[in-house]
Amino acid sequence: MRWLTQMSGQVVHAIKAAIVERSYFDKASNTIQATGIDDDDIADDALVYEPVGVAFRAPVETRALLVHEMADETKPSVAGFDMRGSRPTTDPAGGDVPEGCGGLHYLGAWRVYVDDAGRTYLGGAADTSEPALLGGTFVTLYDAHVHSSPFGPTGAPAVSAASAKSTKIFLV
Amino acid sequence: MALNPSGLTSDFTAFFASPPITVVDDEVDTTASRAACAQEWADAMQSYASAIVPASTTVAAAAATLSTSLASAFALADASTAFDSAMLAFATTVGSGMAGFTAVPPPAPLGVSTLLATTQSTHAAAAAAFTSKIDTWMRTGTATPIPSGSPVNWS
Repeated sequence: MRWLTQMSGQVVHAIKAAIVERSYFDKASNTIQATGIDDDDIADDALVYEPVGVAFRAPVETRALLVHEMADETKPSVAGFDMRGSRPTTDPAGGDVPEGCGGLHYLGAWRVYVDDAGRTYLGGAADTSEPALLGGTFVTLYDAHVHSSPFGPTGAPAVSAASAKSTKIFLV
Repeated sequence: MALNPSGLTSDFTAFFASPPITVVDDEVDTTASRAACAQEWADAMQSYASAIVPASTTVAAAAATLSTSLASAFALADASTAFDSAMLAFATTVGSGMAGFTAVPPPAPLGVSTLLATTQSTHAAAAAAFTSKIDTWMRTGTATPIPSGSPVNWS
């Protein structure tokens, strides 16, 4: 039983809820300094594990779940953050967030919202009155457009707008 | 009875503000649009010269020819020379209708290229510039009474 008591103590110390006091975000690391919720222990340089290719700097006062390697409190890592307190509770239009919808948020507002039809709203507002331009279609229209003039219609633009098309972002 | 520059300015202002353009099946009909623009020029010039002194019986005919000529001119990459030629043909035809006079059209080219090289800030300003150019030029045409008399400038 002694070993069990020791082990349960290790488990208790292996996982701990904490509040982010500071965060550090540089080329070498994405780390936080956090204070335990149930005690005043301070965890320094807790390494934030993040999905491959995705990185955000943690906001101060975010609740973090610390995991201590081998129950060693000098080796904290962050298994995840709980952003419920600041996560938007409605979709950008103010309704319930439907299943399959969500996105990137900060300070209680959606910054990028993707609905279940793949519509993407940058800036968080579900304002469909300002859709993005389709670059290819726009260039086709622009390159063929003419103006009326007292000497008859002008010719099409001498310079194509094709060079303005993004080579990295594509819309449908 | 005289040339009517104020009417020409008025006609040009309205025309320049909204040149006609013909769209068929969401496509600009360039030929029809040029023809419509040419007709606007011809109509304006006909109104301007309809009461020219000495009186001419061929203003309407001159305007009809002007419309056709300008429609062809507007198809050119640089219409200025053909525009000048069309206006000279207009003046020549107007002069030919001055019964009792030997008319000589304006001796120098109109020189519309100088106008086209300058950007005007408003349609009214452009209309005024074109009117001034055309009116000044038309008044260099002369008519000499038959059988004798001193030549007078068109007015």
